[in-house]
Amino acid sequence: MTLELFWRGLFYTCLAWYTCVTLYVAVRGAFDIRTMLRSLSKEGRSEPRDE
Amino acid sequence: MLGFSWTLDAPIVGAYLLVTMAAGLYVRRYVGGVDDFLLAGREMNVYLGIASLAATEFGIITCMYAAELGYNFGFSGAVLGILSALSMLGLGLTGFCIRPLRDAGVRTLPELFERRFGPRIRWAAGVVIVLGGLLNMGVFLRVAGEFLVLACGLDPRQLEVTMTVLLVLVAAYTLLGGMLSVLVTDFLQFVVMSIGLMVVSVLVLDRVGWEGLVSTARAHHGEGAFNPFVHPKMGWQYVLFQALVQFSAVLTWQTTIARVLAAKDSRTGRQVYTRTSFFFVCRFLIPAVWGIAALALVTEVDFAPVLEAGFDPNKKALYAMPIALGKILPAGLLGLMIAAMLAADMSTDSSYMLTWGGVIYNDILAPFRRGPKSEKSGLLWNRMIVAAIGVYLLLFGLWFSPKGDLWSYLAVTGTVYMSSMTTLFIACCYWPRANSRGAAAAIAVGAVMPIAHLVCQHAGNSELASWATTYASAWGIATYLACAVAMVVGSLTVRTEPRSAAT
Repeated sequence: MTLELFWRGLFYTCLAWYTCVTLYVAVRGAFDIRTMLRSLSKEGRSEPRDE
Repeated sequence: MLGFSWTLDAPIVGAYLLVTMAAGLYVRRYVGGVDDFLLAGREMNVYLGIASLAATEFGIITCMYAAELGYNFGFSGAVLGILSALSMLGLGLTGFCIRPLRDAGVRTLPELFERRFGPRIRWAAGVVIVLGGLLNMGVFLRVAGEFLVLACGLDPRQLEVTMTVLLVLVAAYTLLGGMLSVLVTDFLQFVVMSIGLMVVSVLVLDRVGWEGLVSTARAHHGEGAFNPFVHPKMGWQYVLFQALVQFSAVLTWQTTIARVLAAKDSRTGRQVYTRTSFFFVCRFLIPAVWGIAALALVTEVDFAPVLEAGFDPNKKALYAMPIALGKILPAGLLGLMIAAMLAADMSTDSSYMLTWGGVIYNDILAPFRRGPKSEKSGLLWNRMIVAAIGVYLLLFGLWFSPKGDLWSYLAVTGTVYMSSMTTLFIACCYWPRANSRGAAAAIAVGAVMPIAHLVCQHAGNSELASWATTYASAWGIATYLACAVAMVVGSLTVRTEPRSAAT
């Protein structure tokens, strides 16, 4: 019974954690991409090149 | 089976593919050199790192083997996720090995080893990493094709076509944009994949119910469904071997540590590890629950058309989950689930192709390059290697189907390099007496023992194959121990000046 409860608690924690992290990372990750591309443009690649 | 709807599901899948391809191809213009191609110019920040690591480490292959573990072992199958998360959290909090790795500013693990053990060890480490990695990855495409065919209810004869289309899509943006494209598409794929996972999990709970899952697991596996130590097919040896596999995977698996190497600094790399650690519980537990649901929902009647179409009758546990999803998901949601799984798979395949390609270019081919090469030439070489890996994946996937359960195959092939690389990595960072002889001995032992096990399993002798399957965990534990012993004995047989850590 205790182990059943353990897995139940863990599964619902996974669902809750995943939902929160997805929302948070979706927003913050978008900013990270923007910063990364800006930084790459500045580092001697001021003009993004077409290949 | 409800089946795939071309009017409702296909537009969802098509829209997802279009957006991903456009984003992946757009960022190719920022690729100026080999560092940009392999490590995104080392400009990755924490949240992009979390999305990328999570997306890479969850593919259709993950979903299939974790569901198979749930089908075969009940909830106990998800214990691997707990072991993995604990390892990741420990490494993230302490910086054990990963801090010196990032501070060294190398592109790959073998490059770090060269500083301590010399160029030959770098080359040998590159060879076993690629050998283990490609043997491991060789089954990804076939399993993904099987999932899509079974879940969508497609004609099984379309398996090869499905595999080829999947590969071409992934190769297109990986070839052009390298790690930059991988990071950006991983981000999109993480969001789509997560929405899909949540929606499918809620539907599974709605259809089977938590009590239904528990009673099904107990009916098939008894108390072993909840406790891996009392499950007749698991036990302490299984758990110990899996603990070693999970620890060494988060420590040395090239696609995982690529996020540490691409991070802005070691602090960012550690944060990515710490904050992604719990994801590794979800990565095993959510699909394992889908596997238990499949145990409740899929009957012999559902298997019959699949087996008639030529699918392997010994792999019902693997096929059950996609068949179950095809049964319970209505049109529209099936499209979302397919888009989510495609997202998961594309992010995994692209990252794997890139990182193994990086090791081939950086460590195996390095001794054969004469003189400095231009960035343009380096990029061309990397792209050709990624294309060659794509061709290999297709051919290997068409020809080879592993015996036994999928996870066991992945664990054994992963051990080909994880056992020795873990030993080398720890010794390289923290044992001043370690030297190249010990490193060479550890690499040889770590490669020979798992390959001998694979040969026994696939040689065609049923007695030998049965022995290899029965003692797989003991053999795995022995491999890790033998590597450590080989490193210590090999190092102590030669008198060398103690050296500090590789950084």
